[in-house]
Amino acid sequence: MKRYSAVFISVLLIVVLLFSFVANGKELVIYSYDSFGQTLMEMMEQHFEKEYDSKVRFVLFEDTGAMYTRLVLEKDKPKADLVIGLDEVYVIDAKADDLFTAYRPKEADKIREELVFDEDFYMTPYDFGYITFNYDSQLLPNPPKTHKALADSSLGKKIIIPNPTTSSPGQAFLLSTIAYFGEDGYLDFWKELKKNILVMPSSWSIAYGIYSNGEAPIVLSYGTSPVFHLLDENTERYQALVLDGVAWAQIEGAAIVKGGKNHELAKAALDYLISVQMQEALTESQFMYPVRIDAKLPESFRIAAHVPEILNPRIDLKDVHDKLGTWIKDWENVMR
Amino acid sequence: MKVLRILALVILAIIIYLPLAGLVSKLVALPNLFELSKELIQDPAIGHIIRFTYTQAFISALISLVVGLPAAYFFSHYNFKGKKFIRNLTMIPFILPSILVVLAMIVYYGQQGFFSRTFNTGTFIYGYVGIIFAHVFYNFSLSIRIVGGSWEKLNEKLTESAYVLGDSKLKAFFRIELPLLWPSIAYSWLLAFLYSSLSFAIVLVFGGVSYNTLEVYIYTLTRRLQMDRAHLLAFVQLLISFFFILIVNGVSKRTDKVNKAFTISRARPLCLERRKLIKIVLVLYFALLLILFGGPLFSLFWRSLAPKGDSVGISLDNYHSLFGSRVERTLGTPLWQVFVNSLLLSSVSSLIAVSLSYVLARYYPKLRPFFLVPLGVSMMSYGFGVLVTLKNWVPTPILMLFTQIFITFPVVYSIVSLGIEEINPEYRFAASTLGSSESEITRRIYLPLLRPALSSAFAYGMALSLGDLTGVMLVGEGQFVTFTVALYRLIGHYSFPEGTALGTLVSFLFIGLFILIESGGGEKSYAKDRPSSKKLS
Repeated sequence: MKRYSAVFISVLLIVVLLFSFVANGKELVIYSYDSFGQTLMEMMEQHFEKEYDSKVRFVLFEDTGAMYTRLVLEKDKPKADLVIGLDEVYVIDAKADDLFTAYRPKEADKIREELVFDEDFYMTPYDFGYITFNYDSQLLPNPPKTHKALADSSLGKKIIIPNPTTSSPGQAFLLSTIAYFGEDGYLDFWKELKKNILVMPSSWSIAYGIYSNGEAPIVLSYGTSPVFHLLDENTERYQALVLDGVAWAQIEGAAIVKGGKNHELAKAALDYLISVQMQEALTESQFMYPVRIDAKLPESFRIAAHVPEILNPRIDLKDVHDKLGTWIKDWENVMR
Repeated sequence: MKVLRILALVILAIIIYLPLAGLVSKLVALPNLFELSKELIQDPAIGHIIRFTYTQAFISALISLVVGLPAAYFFSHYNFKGKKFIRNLTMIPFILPSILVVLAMIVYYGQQGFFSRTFNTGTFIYGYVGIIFAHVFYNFSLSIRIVGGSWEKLNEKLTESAYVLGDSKLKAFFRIELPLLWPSIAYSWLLAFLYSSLSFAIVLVFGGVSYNTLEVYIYTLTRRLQMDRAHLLAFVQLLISFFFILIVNGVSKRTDKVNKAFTISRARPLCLERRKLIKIVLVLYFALLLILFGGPLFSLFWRSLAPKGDSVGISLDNYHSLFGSRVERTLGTPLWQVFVNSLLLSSVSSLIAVSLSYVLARYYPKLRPFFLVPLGVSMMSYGFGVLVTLKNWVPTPILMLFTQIFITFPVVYSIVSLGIEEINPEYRFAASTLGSSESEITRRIYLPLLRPALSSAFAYGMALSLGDLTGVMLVGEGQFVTFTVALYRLIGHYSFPEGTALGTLVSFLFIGLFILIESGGGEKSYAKDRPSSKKLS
């Protein structure tokens, strides 16, 4: 038994040594979620190494919900300086929870006006993506182009939508239907649409995986999804599908954590995030659009969705915050 | 000696109960706890959700058991070529993250699936049937391992004496074998039941919004930032699960004296079996398993060989790409590091879980229900408990192991403790009468006799740890990339084909590893001790 315990303890020790994370002195701590691109993280690290002789530590969360929950939990003793990746729907809660410090980045006037969802700059938009349908042109050469056609019974079970109750793009689509049809009309649309939905997976990843394996030709995703297939597989088979020329824009924001230890560095990081350099890098790293007016889009974005009108301004974020629970509940009753 | 036992108990209490205590204390401190509870009780939707959650889990576990029992019988009674391979193959769903299991099901059974088109059946997976089917796919290996493990050691002399006394085969089975196998059956049902009750992705993919489990509901509450309600429901979930654990523990007490009921191994080469029927049934049964459950996995593996872009045929494109620079840039970690991390974390945590299980099962057998509690809590709620209790003072690497031990413990412990229970206590008495020390008894009697159980437990521990995302992300903060983290990151960046390639590699790597662990010494040499093979009939 003695040998037993000796083995046990030595295993523990080895593990401690193998895993050990070296503790650093002063470093900028940035919270983000897991799909934040490695390219951007490296750029940020190099920038801070060169300009401020300071380290940057990224803490990545499974999803934005986990990230937000952590911020609330650490409110009295914040560990993060900057948080990147909460979308605009969080802003009301974040203000009510008093989590962030307002800061207007140096080049804030270069940000497209319709994207600034918080005039006080508690949260600053840094990228956005249109939430649109995508279709597989090989399986479906003539896709429906309007909401009405999408819900038409002639289509059949061809649609995959990530579940609005568990996924951000799904929720964004639910909001877009409320913005487009109004609070009184969106449920009627879903009633019609229901019969054409094959499956509503828990996450965007599963939904897109099912779609790209050819199980169904239409999926709710991003307007930039075809860009990936063009770049990686050199195919234009997968196309974006904008219904009635409108779409919801999922706007992602960054914010400085109130009470963070490195306030000035956090401001510098936010400035850098809005710089032309970062903004142009995020296009093919995140497959999202830059928020700056003067950022150039890469050639590959020619295949991305063309969206004449963003639906976001049609509903008030305050309404979203107050009524989302009820909207979802009503929606669930219709879908059941 | 005693110190070690108590240390094991304390470690486990810290891993399991401290975070749960944190969760409960947050709940108790809520000023509006009473109103929340009242609201919860009065909400008819919750009652509906609870009923669905546990009904589907009950059915799923029952079918998993029924599907696995014949395999348990064949594996425990016969040795044949490919036995280890097939037995380990059934564990793949435990290794793979749910996203790949779901995809495997759809690639095979979906409306465009291989099975649906080949047999022209149409698809049945979108709905209640699909949920149950997927859960069976996940869990049927548990009964193969657990019940099979006990059955293999069941002393055949017992049934033979029953025949001599005039019992028919069936009667002998019900009178003698079933009571002795009962605890293993009950526990493999319980584990499948609890796993199915915590199901998340499967219920949403195959059930849509029509079916909602507690786990899904708790997650949606978290998303809407209603943390208090989420924690309260997590606590309710824990209570319900514990209630079932207690029931199963109560009804599965060994009724007979187990002395002499269990020996070492009764399995004998299949070629000695004279009756053709057995062989035919065996082949048919495994062919069916292969078509129903092997099919989805093989379609997934096959999918990883698809070429990039529009061309058709077979290629290694996805594997090239997997080891290429784009994937490394996406992951932020070289691929070899991912494998090292996964191997290290899963093997070390599983080894510790097995060691703890051994000590706790031997010295604290009465506490069994309390060691199964992790199966009543989702990783999400446990993670919150960890944040409010352990995160600030336990070093990161240790905490990482803690989360993995939490995940693996119920299965590892169940396998080990059932194995220990089946060891004839006379051996121990005899040894200590002859003056053997505890450590000698462990080394000479328990460890050799437990070898099959320990290696099964270790394999399950590794598999469960490999498939974990939440625990690794919670503690590793995205910097510690394991196989599952890598997989989700790839898929999050559209690299689904590379994801299937990675899943395929990992599956075969670990199946190979498990076979190696099982084959290493022990088992065979002891099997010779049993009387030379006799005819069954």
